[in-house]
This record gives sequence, C-alpha cells and structure tokens, in this order.
Amino acid sequence: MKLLEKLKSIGINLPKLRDIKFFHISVNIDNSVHVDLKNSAVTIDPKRLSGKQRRALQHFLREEALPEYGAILHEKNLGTIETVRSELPGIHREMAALQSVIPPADVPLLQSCLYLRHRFQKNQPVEDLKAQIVHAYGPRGRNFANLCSADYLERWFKPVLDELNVAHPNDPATVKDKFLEFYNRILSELPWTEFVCVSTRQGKAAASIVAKINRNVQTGVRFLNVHGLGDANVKKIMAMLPEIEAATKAVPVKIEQDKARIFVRLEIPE
Amino acid sequence: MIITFDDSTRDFVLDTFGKKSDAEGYVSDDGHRVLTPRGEEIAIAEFAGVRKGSVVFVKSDITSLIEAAEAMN
Repeated sequence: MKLLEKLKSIGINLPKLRDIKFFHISVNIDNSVHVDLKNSAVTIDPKRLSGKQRRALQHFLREEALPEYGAILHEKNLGTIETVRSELPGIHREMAALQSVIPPADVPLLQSCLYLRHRFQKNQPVEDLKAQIVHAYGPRGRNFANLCSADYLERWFKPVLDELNVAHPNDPATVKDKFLEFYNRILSELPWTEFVCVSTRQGKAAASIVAKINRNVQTGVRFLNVHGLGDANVKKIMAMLPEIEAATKAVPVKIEQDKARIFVRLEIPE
Repeated sequence: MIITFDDSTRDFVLDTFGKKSDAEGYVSDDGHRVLTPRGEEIAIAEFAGVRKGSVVFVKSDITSLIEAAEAMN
C-alpha cells in the first residue's frame, strides 16, 4: 500500500489496484506504466517519467523500498530467489545447532551447502552450485559441500558438538574452541573421508586413499569412508579396491552402491 | 512485495544507489570497484541487484542470492 501511495504522490495513480505484489522496472512496455491486475503486478518505465518523477522514484527505492522489502533484484534471479525462500525454513532448522559455533564467515557457506543438499536430495543438478561454492570458498567450500551432501553434518559435526556440550556443560567457550579445532581440521584435510571426483584418474585417487589410510593408522584411526557420484566414479572406486587392500590391508566392510552413487567404508582389521 | 528490474533498467538501478558500470564492465563508484561482502568485484553481467544491510550489492552466485533471500524475509 505504501508503494501505491508513493506512486500517487509522484503523479502515477493506479486506482484499480488495492495492493502490489510485484513491482518491475523496465523500458520494455508501451506506456510509462503497465498494470497486470490479475497478478497485482506493476511495471514502470523510468525513461517515460519526468525528471522529477524519476528522482522521486529513485529516492523511494533507496530510502523506503529497500529497507522495507529487503532487496531489489534482476528478474533473471527471481526463480532462484523464490526457490531459496521456500527452502529457507528447512535450511534454518538444519543449521540451527551449528550456526553459533562455526565462524560467522562460514554461515553463508553452510547455507549454500545445505541448499545444494536440498537440490541433490531431489535429484536436481548441483554441479553449477558446487562450482559457485568452490569459486567463492575454494577447497574448504568443496569439502564442506561434499560433507554436507553425504550427511556428515548429522553423522559427525552435530554428534561431536553434542558430546562436547555434555563434557563441558557450563563452559561454552571450551566447547566452541574444541569444536572449531575438529571442524577446521575436517574441512581443510578431510582426514576420514575421500570424495572421488570424475576428473581424478584412478591411480591418483587410489594413491590419495592409501596415503590417508596410512596417515590415519598412525593416530589409531583404522577406517576411511569413500564416496563417489556417477556411473564412472562407481566403476572407478570398485576397480581400485583390490589395489588399496593390497597396499594397506584395509577391506571394504560396507558397500552401498547403485548406478548413480557409491559409498564404501574401508577398515583395517585389528 | 518483490521488486525487480531487467537489463534495460540495470543502469537506472545502479544510478539509484550512486553506482555505474566502469569502462571494463564492473560495478563501480567514482573509479573504485564495488565489492561483495566476500571481497569479490561484480561484473555487470553478474550484477543481481541490491539488498539491505545497509546497501549490499548482490552478485548472481548462490551464496549471494541466499543472503538476498534472507534479507527479503
């Protein structure tokens, strides 16, 4: 309603409209104003406004509309924005436990990774999203996206945080310090997981897995979880298992596999 | 309410917030390129809009769009 009043005050009266749900700014209309009553949408061509009207519109957008409505966006992003807004309640629930303990700069990363996971769980393409996350956050972003998609938030991060809260019930600073130590190591090194990617050749992937298993066993960790997505990675991982077992004595104790993905848990028997 | 613009009015929106496209096609302000909260320059082709907080220029990557969606809630 505020916008209708503002438009009226600058000489654009839209008496047939009770409310505006979509306000679009474009020169691609026949008149200075186009009204879509059915969708409560208004399009304004700023070039057809007088200089005074144009300045008043800019002032309104800057000083009132942005603070009140939160954003002014290119129309090509509207589809993504609408999808994200529908997913946000779920993302907020899933990140609630970790939000206060991870570095503030990682909160947008966590949100992006959870959004990617929502798309992944719906079997929608995620490669474009992952590329954007890696571009913005580098290898840590790739690792977090992979961990998140493989449910390690729930399998590792949250249980560790719960254990720390039990062990240090009245000491949130210690909980946070110890958690961050764990969190940063996992994100930077992926010591207990290997995500095999399509572009990595079999020999190099196997060598990386062997190196991690050998490093882990020195600290008493006798397992490694291996993940792969896509038919090529499924075949690649299955093909490298004998080579890994020969080099490390680690055997697959669990294999979950279909054409689209594979999970293998390797353990070195005691 | 959702406020949108298109390619035809991108310069109008930039001008509304005192910005323009520089000679190399980046969002700028008196010769200084505008940066996202993560310190990235914004090519005009990637300019996705502005969000509150106080005024943040938005790039068309998923992290920036999620932050914009949060600002709209």
